Amino acid sequence: MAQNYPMSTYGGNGHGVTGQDSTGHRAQQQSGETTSARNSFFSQLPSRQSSGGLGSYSSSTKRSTKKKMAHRRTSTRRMSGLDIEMQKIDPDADLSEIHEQRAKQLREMPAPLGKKRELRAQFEVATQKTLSGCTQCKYSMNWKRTKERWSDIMMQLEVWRSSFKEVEDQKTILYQVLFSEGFMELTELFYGFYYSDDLILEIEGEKIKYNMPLAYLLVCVAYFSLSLVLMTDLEEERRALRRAGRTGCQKFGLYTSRFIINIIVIIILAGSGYLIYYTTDFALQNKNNPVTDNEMLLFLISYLPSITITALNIVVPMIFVALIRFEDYSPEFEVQFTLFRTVFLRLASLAVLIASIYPQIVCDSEDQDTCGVCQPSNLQCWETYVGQELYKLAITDFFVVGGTILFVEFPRKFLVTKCICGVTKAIGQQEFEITKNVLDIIYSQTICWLGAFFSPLLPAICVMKSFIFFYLKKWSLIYNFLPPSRPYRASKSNTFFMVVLLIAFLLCLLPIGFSIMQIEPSRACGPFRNQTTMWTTVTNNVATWPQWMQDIINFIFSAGFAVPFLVILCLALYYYHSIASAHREMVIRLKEQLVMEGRDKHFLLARLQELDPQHGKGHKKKADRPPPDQPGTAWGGEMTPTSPGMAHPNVPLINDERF
Amino acid sequence: MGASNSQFTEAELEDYQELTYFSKKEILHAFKRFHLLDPDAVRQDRNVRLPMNTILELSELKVNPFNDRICKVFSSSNDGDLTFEDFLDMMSVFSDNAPKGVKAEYAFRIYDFNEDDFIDSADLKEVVGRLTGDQSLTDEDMQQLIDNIFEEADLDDDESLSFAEFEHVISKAPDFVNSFRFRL
Repeated sequence: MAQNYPMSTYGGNGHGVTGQDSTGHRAQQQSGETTSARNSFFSQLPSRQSSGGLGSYSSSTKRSTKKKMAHRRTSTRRMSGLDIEMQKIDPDADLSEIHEQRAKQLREMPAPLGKKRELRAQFEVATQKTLSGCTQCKYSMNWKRTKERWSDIMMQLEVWRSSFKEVEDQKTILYQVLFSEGFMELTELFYGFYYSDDLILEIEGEKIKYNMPLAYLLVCVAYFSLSLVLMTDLEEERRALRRAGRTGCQKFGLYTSRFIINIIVIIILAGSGYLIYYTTDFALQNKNNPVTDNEMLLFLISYLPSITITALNIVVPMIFVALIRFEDYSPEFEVQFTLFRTVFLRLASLAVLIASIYPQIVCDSEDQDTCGVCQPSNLQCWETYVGQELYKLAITDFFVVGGTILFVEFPRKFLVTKCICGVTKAIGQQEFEITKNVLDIIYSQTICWLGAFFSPLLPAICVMKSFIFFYLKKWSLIYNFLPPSRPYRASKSNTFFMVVLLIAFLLCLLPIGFSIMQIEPSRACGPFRNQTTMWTTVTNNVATWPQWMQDIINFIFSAGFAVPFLVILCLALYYYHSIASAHREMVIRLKEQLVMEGRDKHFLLARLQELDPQHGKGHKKKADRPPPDQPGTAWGGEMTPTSPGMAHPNVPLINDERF
Repeated sequence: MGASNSQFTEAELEDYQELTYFSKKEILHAFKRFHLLDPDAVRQDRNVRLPMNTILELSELKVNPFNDRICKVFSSSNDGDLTFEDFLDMMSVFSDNAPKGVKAEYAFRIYDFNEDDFIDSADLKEVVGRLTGDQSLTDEDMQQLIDNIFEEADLDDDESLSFAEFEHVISKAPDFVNSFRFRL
């Protein structure tokens, strides 16, 4: 069992090359040692694993010699690797490839430029012969140059590159947002404008039919697919982050207060939801039966739901921030939890808005008049109405964010810097909260997605809005704000924001998908005015296709295809899940093994001390070192450099190094 | 060809290009930044060794809590003073194109304050102290934090992080690459 010492596993324990080399030296000097004593010694190791014992030994040896090796190790590690690699390159291989490989290795070496140059010179002498008379190189060089030029151009084109450079810490890259206009109901901006007849184009005598309803649907599908692709691209780069949260004693009282505060939060959320529902309902009632003739008042009432939602989005998070202080969470969790509640509020408010509109737009069969026009609430064109609501929301959001910057943040900075009196000093300069600003953008984007179907030009408006936001916020950031006092938040929350964005996206798809598949479109407006549902357009269109294509489509949507497909998907999912959990298991195993190695090391050091009285004193500190949960500062610094004791013949282990 | 272009021959540029993660244009831009740090000195001698205090004027480094360590690590004279080549090295490692491994290597050296090739608790104390700045932690909190770090990262229980352990921790922080970078 303990007699086999697989050396191949030994190199992989993650310790530096030099440690092995130096011990290897000594190992050769001591190679006359008997093996039986060694074997019995090994069986005593806590881990009883030869590779573990060796590994831990090498690391401890290395520690003892580390002062000497400090400067050599890091550079040797890669450089020796480079030599090996260089020899390995096949002289018959494509020369440009060799070039590429070598350049890559050189660049990756953690050495100063001068050192790299030397190494390259060495290499060049070795391969000079083969390099002459190479025609392939020319092509590859040309290609390389083209690529460089291209990347230069791309660099210049990258939007806001210089701005980002200026703002550096600000990593809110997701500026692609929204904004739209209310009194222009019958413009391209809203659903209602689009007609249902086919557009006939005559190009060089050929008639081309442009199917407006189908085009409308397809454009929306393309838009959402593109959004999803862009988002998942970003998401892939940010895997889950581990939280290094603290654990502390929590008392009963704390739990009680947390419970109460959570109840309060739920009440606040429910209250906000009701308020949104009430104002939406009120605004709609008012649209049908105006309570006043005052135009200004009417205008305000029509904007009431948007104003309510936006105001709630400002006020409620402040309450959350105030409340969470009483809950005594760790600082990081505090931030995350407040953020979670705020996100919930923002998404829920939009959901409530949609839910309040919904009863107004679906037809009960009794509501239908003789012409088949559905008039539960005198909404001639509900799609446009939904578009208008979201448009108003976008506008309100824009003015509130802009207004906050111009009329709150700027005056505050102005007062604090210009007027030195007690009050302003107490307020102090504001810090830039990245989370809040990123949430603003996500919210903006959500409105854009939600409204994109009912107000096709909303995304364009959003883009303009985001441009204006970007420069406003950048200006505000530079002139009005102090850097945040907790810099770690930005990077830690990255994944979180991507997840929020994804959830928001899926939530937006739900009502849109539902209205396409289920709700009857308005009869008075829009491209789908003659159909029972918007989806009918697609089915009708498919019916005009050649028979074989119809058969394929029918097959794809039939149970005969869908069920096996789902089963295969599930199997694939299960397969990857198993692989993932196997890997996880492996990681745990390896971790355990490493811990065992650590124990071996302690054990060996203790033995070392016993066997070597001359240096016992020096090692005692290390060998008797308390378990790692106690501070062990002496451990690192003062070890004596390679002592003769380390290579003492009585210590059989050392010789094992090169067996 | 502009004024700054004439500073380098085509061959020199290709040379730099091969040894760094930069294109020629970026190398020239890097030189411009270097030049701006001390125009007179650089005009007289392109290979002048600028003192650390001058380098620290660079906007990316100005507020960085580890700015002196960064300079020292990249200095070929080991005292924090940088020549243009050292400077280019630094910008290259901090550029978008430098792979994670290279960045991790230098991050390790930056945090290894006593340069013993291990990040031990003294190094960690220094790192945390610099990161927290004015609102420094109490000794108790600091100890707790360092214990937590070791618990998470110190796989072989030797109360210090070797490069392999450090690299392992970095692999769990996908954002490392984004934070360990300058925009040129």
